Amino acid sequence: ETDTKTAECEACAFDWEPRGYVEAGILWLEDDEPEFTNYRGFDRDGFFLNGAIDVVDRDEDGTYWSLQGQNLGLGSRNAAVRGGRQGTVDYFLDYQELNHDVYDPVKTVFSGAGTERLELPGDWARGDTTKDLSGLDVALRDIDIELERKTLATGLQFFQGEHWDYNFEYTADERDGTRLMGGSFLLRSAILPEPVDDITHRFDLSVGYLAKLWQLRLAYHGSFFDNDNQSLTWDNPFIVPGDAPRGRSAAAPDNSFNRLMLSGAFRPTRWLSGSGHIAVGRLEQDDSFVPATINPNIGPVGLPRQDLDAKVNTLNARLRLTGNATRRLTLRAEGFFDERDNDTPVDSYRQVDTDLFVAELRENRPYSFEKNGGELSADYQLTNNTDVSTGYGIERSEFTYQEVDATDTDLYFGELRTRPGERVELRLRLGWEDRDVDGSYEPLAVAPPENPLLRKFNLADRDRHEIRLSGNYYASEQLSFGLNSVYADDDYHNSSIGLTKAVDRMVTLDASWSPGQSLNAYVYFTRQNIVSDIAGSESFGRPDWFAEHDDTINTYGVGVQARELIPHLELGVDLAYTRSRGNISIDSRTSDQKFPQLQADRISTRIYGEYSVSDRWSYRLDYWLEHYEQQDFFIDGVAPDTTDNVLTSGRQSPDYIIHAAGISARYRF
Amino acid sequence: MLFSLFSAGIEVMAQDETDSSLEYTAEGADTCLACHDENGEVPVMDIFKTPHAVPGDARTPFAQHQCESCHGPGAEHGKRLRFNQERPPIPAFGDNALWSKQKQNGICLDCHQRDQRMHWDGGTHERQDVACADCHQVHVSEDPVTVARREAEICSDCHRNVQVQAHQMSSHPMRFGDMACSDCHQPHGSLNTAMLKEPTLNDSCYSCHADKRGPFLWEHAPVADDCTNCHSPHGSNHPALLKQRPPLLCQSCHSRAGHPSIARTSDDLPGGRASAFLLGGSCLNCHSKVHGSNHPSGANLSR
Repeated sequence: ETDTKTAECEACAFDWEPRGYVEAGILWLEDDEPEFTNYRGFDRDGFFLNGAIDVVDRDEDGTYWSLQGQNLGLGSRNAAVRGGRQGTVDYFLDYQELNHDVYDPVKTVFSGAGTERLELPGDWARGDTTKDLSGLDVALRDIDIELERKTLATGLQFFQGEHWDYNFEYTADERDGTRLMGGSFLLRSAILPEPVDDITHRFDLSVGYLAKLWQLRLAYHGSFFDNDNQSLTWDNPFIVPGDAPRGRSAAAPDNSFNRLMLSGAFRPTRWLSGSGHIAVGRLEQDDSFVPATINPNIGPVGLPRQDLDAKVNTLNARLRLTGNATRRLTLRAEGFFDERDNDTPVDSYRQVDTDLFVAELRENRPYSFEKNGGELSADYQLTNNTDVSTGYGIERSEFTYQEVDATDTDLYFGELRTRPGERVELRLRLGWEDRDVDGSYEPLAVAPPENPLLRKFNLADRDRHEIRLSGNYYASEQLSFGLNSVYADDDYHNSSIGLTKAVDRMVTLDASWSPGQSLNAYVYFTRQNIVSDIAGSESFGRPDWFAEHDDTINTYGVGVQARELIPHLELGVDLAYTRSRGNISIDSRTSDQKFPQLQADRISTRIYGEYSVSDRWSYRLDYWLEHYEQQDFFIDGVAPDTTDNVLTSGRQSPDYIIHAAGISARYRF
Repeated sequence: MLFSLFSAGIEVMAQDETDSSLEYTAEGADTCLACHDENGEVPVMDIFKTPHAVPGDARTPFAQHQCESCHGPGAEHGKRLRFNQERPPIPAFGDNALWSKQKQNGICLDCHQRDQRMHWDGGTHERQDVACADCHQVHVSEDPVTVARREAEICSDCHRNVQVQAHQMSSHPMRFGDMACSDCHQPHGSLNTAMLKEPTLNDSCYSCHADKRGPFLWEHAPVADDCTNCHSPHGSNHPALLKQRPPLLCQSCHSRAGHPSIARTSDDLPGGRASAFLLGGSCLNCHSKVHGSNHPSGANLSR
């Protein structure tokens, strides 16, 4: 090796001036359709001023700063400031707002949406069923169900010499808005706007040491969830036996999670490498309980404690060793250990069923589990163009307060990767798993009892088969075709009741054409089919009804990007069409029926053109067209009083064609 | 002190793999840029707008062998050719590059080894022969895969089946670039399931959904076990990214005597019984606290 480290370079176009662009423009939205505006940040229709900025300045000594911002005039926007000196110190400040239009609008009879107290109109006449609610039509009004998430993150990274680095990062993640929840009184319920007002503070600190052949990192992660709402109280719109003028539910409690993690890697030779981590965490929650009931007609109900004082210890460890036994053979060993050790005290709590009547004592069940296992695998280079892999793994999962004490899983896989010609790549992977319950499946003691033939699918005996086939064909340097397919079959062979079988098939075909730097085009098609079989028993014995849940989603897409085909003009088109169909059929003792098909069709088109009038100025035109049509028998035609015993929100499936356009000017420097 | 001893001990075990037969050019980047300029097949000049081209930072390519820091010694490739002589390939990152993909990755990892790339060796992408250059571009002012709103475009070159799920009825906001694949996944290698950044799948979900973390007085066991028992994180044909619709999703695990075991049929639609056990939120019309309840009377997850 000849070391000719060059200090001078005449042709190198180093540029130490600030550079980037600023952009300003106007956006127009035809209509305020929540399915379209969701996450995009349009909170109304009409015109919006919008802008973007992206500036970076680097200096010869490695100091730099940058300022970026996107969609600055919309509800969903982000901005970031970064700076520092390369290899010495880096800092950043990021801000993001994200608008999630959940349902827009829905109907409610309650006032106080967004607060912890929902009230009925003063003249509300309660009824036995929704049909008896005489003041319903007058009281119903529209509200939007929306969530806004604001995230502020800042951080600092120092480097000390070649080996050490130190990181600090803080994130505040704040959510504000409403979502829907059901508030029930035995067999009556109302859909309520539940307030969301919480913040999660996250702290990440770490120190790392990097040597040539090994490295270590010690990291602390702290996450603190703080909910401004403790509960939601709502007036009961119904007349119910036992009478309860209002109900109260508990909001998600404040909680904290602290974790210390040590991770490392070593590469002593080219023949051996390994990496691993061990993380010790603790999850805590001691939010004060709300009273067992808000119903004044029920006498005092004692609580065994005033808060849960919940403590969950977590331990996660993983290790992987990779060894190149020969030039052709690579061996790999992996192991893992995951534990959720729940130290939460167990007590008996007198239940007041839906604020209506005093029921039985119930003991809480603080679930714990421990999962461990490992895998041995080998990759062998059969020829210069063909590799084969095989592996065997085991997993053992142990549970508390569950129907099974433990499950054992054996995993096997084989894989072939080959390039039979210069233009073709193929990959075939076969995998299968055998999960068995260790011991017997004992239903938990509950009243009314669980069918003893039911097997919860995450704990049941299961055979899983998986086939993956993928490949690429390079017809030329410009044109290529791809195939990606997956077939996965889960057979719960000892489950008479519950999920008995699940099959997921997916195939993707795509092609891309890039005749040069100035033109790039692609087309793709994806089909996914998911089928689940569920069995049940109305007679509390052998299965007497069988359901099939069958979803098929086809997606077609095409896109073109062209630069300078017409001088100074860049053009782009993206088109995607997703066609979803869901079929649910029930075969019971009395009937063999299908539900109306669940349908969702989405056509999204985006076209843009950017014309550069000079090296510094360009003008851009964007156009969006989206057609979305959904048919969902769960909500369509279901007015607030359609069901007798649940006052629903009256939300309906979206069905729209919407246009949006934007024009902007960009100045580069 | 201990670190130094340990480091020195291990370094003795290392084997020098440098290719001593190759020589660097005499003029460095001036030689390269004589041919590879802005008008070349692959424009390269935008690299001077990137952190790689900062001579003041001693770690960067342009503080060392310039273009040849990454492309390898190029004297042979850059030499004057005889008539009809074919130009020898550059050692790394070029057409018919001499060096293996693994060795080319090693060039990047020589500098980019910290933190996130700790688990590259033996990881899924490394085993599938993915090269750094398959995803990253260094000769552009801004590498698209490092821009959150553009990242999915790059990932979808191989993971199109995942990308299209963002178009389904419910999905995370990946379609608009407000969420990137790397918010959850660690493409540079991870020891965790599905190359997740967090040690467990649930920890990944709790990063943004800490309200679901509890621990609750009344826990719903499958929630603490694995969020994907009920949710499809990349997209679903059902609300809230659910794998199936309630009541069938719930009846997959609940068949207690009474209403949970009853088959809901088309007789339960409007025009028939119009049953709240099927319509609207189905089971969630009453059992709304499916992720757990901290209400003393919330054992059946309805408070």
